[in-house]
Amino acid sequence: MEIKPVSQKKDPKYPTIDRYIANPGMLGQHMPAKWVKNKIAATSLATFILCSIPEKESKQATLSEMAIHQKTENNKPESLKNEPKDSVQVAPVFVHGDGAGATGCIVMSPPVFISEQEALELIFGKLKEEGFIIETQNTDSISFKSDQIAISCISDEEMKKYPKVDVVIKLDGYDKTRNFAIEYVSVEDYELFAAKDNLYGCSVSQYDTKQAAEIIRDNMAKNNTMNSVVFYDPISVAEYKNGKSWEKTHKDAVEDSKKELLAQVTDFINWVKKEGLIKE
Amino acid sequence: MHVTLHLTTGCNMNCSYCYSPPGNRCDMSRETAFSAVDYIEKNHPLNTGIIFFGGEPLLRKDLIVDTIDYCRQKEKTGKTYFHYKVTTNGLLLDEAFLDFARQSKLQISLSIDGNKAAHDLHRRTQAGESTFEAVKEKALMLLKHQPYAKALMTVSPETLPHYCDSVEFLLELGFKYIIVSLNYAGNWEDHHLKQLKNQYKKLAALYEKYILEEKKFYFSPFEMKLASHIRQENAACYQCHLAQRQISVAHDGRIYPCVQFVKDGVSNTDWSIGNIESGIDAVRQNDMYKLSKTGSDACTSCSYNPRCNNKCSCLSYQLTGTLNQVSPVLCETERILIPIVDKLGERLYKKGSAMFIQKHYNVVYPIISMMEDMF
Repeated sequence: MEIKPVSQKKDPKYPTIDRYIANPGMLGQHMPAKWVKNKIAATSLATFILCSIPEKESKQATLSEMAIHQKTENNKPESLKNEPKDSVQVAPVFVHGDGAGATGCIVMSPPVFISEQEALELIFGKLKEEGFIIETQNTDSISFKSDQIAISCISDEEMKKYPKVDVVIKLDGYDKTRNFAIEYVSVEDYELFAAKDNLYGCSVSQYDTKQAAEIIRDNMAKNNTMNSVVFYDPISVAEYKNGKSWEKTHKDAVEDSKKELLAQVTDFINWVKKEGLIKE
Repeated sequence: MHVTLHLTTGCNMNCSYCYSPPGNRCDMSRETAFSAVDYIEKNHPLNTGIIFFGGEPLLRKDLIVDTIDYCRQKEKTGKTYFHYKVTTNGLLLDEAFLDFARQSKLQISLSIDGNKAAHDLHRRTQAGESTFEAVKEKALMLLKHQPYAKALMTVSPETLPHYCDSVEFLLELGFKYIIVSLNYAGNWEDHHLKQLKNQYKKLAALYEKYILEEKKFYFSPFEMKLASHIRQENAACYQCHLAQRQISVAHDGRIYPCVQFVKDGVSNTDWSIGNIESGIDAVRQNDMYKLSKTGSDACTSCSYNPRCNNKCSCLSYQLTGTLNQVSPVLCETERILIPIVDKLGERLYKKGSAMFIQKHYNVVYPIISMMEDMF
């Protein structure tokens, strides 16, 4: 037997209490089933959370979340309560749409984007049909350092000289019952990775939501705390043709993007069924 | 401040691992006990815990009753407040004493090593007879009066094969608080470490099962290590503050930094830091504290150092004769425990266990839990 110092390079993969002190509403998403049945315990927890949440944050939303959680817990069959979940699985990025485009001086076919709100309505609507129960308030955030995403007017070699960026993303949705996080990469999310302030002489703005999705997906896998899937804005391009109004051209491109996005979601549903994460 | 009163060096048992085995019985006098209370009242009047200890403190039930009565008189001034604990082997527990404990809010902790195989291996009477059945009966009696009473369990190399079974036995018996001490002074060999690792793994599975079933319990080795990561620096408040937040008063009124320094009350007076008449030698007290906070280079370079039990000076003293050196067996056992507990924490967090999250991340969990039990 000996005295031997340990060199532990990684922190344990469960958070410190600071995360919950900063976001007390998260406690409302994890109410023991026994507390759900016990009005005193449930009320005490709700009171504590409401007293802890700063005024500027939505107390009403927190209460609604807790109510939804309680309802879900109450309706869950006894056998499913606290059912151990499988080990964490991170879905691949399902490729439908290039997720790339550009705007600027020489671009003839401009990209069209789906707004975050539109995209999430589509994604969550489809997932709810499959029994997902998605919460959108007080979801976790992930943070990591990333290389900036290269664009065509800068060589890969040159790009390596640019500093890494600190990326912090608040996840768009979370299904507690399946421990499943859902993230949609919009063009605004892409901007977190985009080379900026250093593109001297470049008059083109380029977008690559697919690559951003892949980077986020890989970091979710490294994080290894939640099942997760990352969708991305397919970014269709508006190809103007004679005889077709610009408005109609743009609208058609948006519809194309929505179809591509739904195809990503359909692939994901097939994947979770195949993986046995939900029953067919 | 916690003040431990060593009421007697006598004991009605003769546990083979006892660090202060009963020899010539010396009892604390009523005058000494009352002087100790006077000293506490004068120097630490607010919310001081008085712990009745031995030997076997219930050999002096009369002195416990009288001392608490004396404290109550003091409390009437409104300037001081005490709370009380006693650590007992249980054999002398009876309904009358439990009624008194309820009335005086005296918390009773019971030394019990688990199931029969583990308990009877070391915890025997003076005549070498089994105490398991008697202690089990007393445990049930105690839990009827004090459902949150603590079970104090000592695990020795010889009882390792029964560790997990013993914890499960105590939980099933009704204990919700299980405080475990490894008997580091035992005869540890390499094969025991393998056994310990296997037992910790079994215990982790048991802990996980109970948490997922939303059972409420406290198992000290795991809770302390989970807290040392989750609460980070705050976990330091659970660690040793030698002679700063606790002192021990021997039967003769000498003051020691902690319980293990008292030994039989006569043979270890070099470690005394004062007495209840003249008070504590503050310079010596501070020197000891400062020394206890230093450590070996090996410890300071270790990633586990902030979470390690190497800061228990009482233990360091028992194992190395110094206040600041860690023993190899403690180092080995901590290196086994911490990764197993971290994996357990990761599993439970990944599963989104509501009980795990409330228990460890909700600062008002104890209050909500108590309210749940009350209503």
